[in-house]
Amino acid sequence: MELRCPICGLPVIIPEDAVSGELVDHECGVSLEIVINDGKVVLKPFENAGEDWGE
Amino acid sequence: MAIRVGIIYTIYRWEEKELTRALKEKGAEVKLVHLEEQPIAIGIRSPEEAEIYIQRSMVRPLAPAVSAAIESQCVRVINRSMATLAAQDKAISLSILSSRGIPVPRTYVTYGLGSIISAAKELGYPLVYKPSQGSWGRLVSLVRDEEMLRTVYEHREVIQDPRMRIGLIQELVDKGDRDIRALVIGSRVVGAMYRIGDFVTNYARGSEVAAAKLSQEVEDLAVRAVEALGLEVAGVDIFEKRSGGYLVNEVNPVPEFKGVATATGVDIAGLIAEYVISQARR
Repeated sequence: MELRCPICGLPVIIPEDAVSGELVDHECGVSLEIVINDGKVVLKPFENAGEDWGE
Repeated sequence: MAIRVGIIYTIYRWEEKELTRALKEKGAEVKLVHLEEQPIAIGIRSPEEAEIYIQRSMVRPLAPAVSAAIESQCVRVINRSMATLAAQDKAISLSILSSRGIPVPRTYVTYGLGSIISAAKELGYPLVYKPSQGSWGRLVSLVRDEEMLRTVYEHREVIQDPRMRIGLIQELVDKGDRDIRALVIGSRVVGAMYRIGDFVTNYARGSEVAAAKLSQEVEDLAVRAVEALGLEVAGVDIFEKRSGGYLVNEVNPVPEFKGVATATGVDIAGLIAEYVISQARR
């Protein structure tokens, strides 16, 4: 599946087995989060929640 | 019939992908719960619910809240909500560990400049000043004198989050250039690594890691720490003092495990999957 990067507008290839919440690193330097809602796939810039569980 | 295991997450990272793979390989049906898309009902269980869940939310306050909601449906979550809540706060978790006889660094809970300065006078410099909540070593400050302590405190005050004002003043442990991260599943250490660095040693911050072979004493310490907090799957950060002896610095209730898996070659996701399936069958 091919979508457009919401930041630069260039194509982004989404893996067939992608799930909601998965991250895709785009060539423009932005990390994009895949969001699947009611079967519709959209991309949004990943906003690091600032809360995490590090290793 | 396949056991249905839920993975609760906010971001689907390497660890969550690995858990999905491992659970499927072991015959489980995997139900992915992306919290930004799926609400969790309190007290009402739907037929689609999994028989057991693994909590993998990156957002700290969200993890125990969602685990508690699922537990209200009489469904198990690993780790349990209250254990996660206790472990995610360093002041609470260190207090519980200490009360169970587990050695921890000398630490004071502070709120406000007066208490910080007083605690620093008790410990002496250099010392560590860090928020009670947080990970990846963020906002963990090495403080060399009172002037520096006042400056760091002023910076913390600018952060618009009252939780950041609850600070821990902690002794700087002379541990050389490394610490230990032990991964515990059930009552067993399944892998451990040294994290190498001068001060902040988190793998997620780019520290080098190397597989660690732990003595029985250290493995027992890690397991005791996890059990004291009521956790089942956890990462334990341990300081090895140059003068001898060990201190537990932190227990992580939603541990990343890419570093340990990479350093040791152990299929951590596979072992977590085995444990979770065994718990679902009980």
